[in-house]
Amino acid sequence: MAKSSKKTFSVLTNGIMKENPVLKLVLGTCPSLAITTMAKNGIGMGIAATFVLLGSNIVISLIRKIVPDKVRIPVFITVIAGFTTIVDMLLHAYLPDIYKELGIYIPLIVVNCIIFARAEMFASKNSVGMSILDALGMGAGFTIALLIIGSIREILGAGTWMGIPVTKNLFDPAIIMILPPGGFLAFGFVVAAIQKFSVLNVKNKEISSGCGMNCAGCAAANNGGDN
Amino acid sequence: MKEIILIAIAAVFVENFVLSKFLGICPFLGVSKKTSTAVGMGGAIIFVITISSAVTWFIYEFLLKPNELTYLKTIVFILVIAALVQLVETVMKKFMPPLYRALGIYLPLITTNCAVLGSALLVVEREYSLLNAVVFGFSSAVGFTLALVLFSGVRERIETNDIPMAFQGLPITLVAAALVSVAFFGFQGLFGI
Amino acid sequence: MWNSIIKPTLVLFVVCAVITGALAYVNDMTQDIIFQRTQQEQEQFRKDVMGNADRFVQVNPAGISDKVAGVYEAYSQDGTIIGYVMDVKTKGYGGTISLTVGVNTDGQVTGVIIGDNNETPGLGSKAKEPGFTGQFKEVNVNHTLSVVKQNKKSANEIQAISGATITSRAVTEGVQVALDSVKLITEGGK
Repeated sequence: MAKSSKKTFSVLTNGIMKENPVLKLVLGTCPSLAITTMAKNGIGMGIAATFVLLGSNIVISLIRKIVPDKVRIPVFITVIAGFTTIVDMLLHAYLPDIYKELGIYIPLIVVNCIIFARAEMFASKNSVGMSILDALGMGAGFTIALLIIGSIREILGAGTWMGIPVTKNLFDPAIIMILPPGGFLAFGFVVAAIQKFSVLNVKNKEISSGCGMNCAGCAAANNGGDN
Repeated sequence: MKEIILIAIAAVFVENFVLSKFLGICPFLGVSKKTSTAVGMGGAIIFVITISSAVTWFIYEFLLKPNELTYLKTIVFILVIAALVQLVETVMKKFMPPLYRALGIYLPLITTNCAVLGSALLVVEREYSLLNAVVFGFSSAVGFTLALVLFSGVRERIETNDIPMAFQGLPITLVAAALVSVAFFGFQGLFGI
Repeated sequence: MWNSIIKPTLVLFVVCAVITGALAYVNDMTQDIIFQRTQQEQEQFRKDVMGNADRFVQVNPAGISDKVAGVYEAYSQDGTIIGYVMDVKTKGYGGTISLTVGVNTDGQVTGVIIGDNNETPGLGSKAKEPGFTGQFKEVNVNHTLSVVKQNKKSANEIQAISGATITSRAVTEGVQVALDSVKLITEGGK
């Protein structure tokens, strides 16, 4: 019993630290750079994506034994797209401010590699309970990464954090941080900081990632090719 | 005519998909190490986006809008794109084997590329006509390819530099991307765009 | 046959059907809320741009630019017209920007509110700050507006938001349309 609860715990924390989807696996980079102009947006996107991830992990785990391999990918896509659309509609109705801030990146959650990768690598092979934990962990990791990047960009670029002015008299905000280049910079520096303090790094000259390029590629590779 | 030219120029330079809108980052960071692979990926994307811009436009205008099913656009678009990529792959394999061999491995990866779906969604959001939509898609993909190729050149140079350990791999790539992004930022205001 | 073709197709079909059904349900549930909220929002915008108006009545004057989505006469409590509020739609950087512009019967702009838009996240939303829109309060129907990037010298020069010139231009253009429309209405009446 102790062993399985340890495993449970590690599934949960996996997504936050060891395999943080954004900072370690380099997945979901598009929204990470695009909406992190404010810390608040980071949280909003993180929660939205976690919702989709949770939904899709649960459903895919539930039906994993009856989905034939041939239609695996279209089924995954449909499920993920379904939850993405639900989140889109719910945000539009109940949280319109966040909806407007995140804009086009909400429907783009469907191509967020994180969700597809977790469906392929975890939910389709594990129980519902574990899949829930995995989703929560990955979602939390995603949200935390977005929060960090978003906070850096907002504080340096606008002098506020969550809308509260924090650097009033210290320095003039560097607007570039909330413009596109700032996204790349903030992301780069955060990953650099992590690599500096990470025990696992050292000789890795390749991009520190599992699915560096793209998820369908991972799927194809793991599956022996037939897409 | 003027509108088309402006859309094209804006899509390539001013609001470059990768460097401005952050669409298509995954392949951008992963593929762009060698110029030849960058060109290959870019070519495949140009092909797919142009076709998908037209196809998704038709589906939206004649299927979703008249039937008040616009909320299904995300799910329909992504399935169409996935099917389109499959189709393109199959057709290419049969009728254009050398091209297929050159682009082959990049094709399946295009389905989950934010750029393709993003382009379709932007067309809907901006209420483009069919012509504008196709021009927009094509130009955006060209911009993507441009960024990819430029960046591969930058990365080839970086390879030979002495980089602090913490920055090796992804971080220095991102910093380099930031600089290229700044360069492209200079295009803002071009022709009053 | 069952395993290789029928079963996969069936499973896919069922999944699609269930998902589409779920989406239709959520759509139904949320559509009304969204519509209602949009109506309330618009009404609130009208009150915000013309604070001392008691009620608004929608009118349909002829010859108005088709960028104007709605014209409302603003009435004070004693029943006199104190101005007009227009819903204007202009083309910004990322698509349509919805504006609500209030102009009183002296031809002075009483307020500009930026509503739905798809401008650059974070940057375009700066346009909503009073620092930018407040400039329009010094504008009246006789002005021809232009956008400048710095060194604003007069009331008809609108200082653009740095890094959001197109958004600034679109908003200014929208206000101009509203001004021209009001001029048309009031002079047409004379």
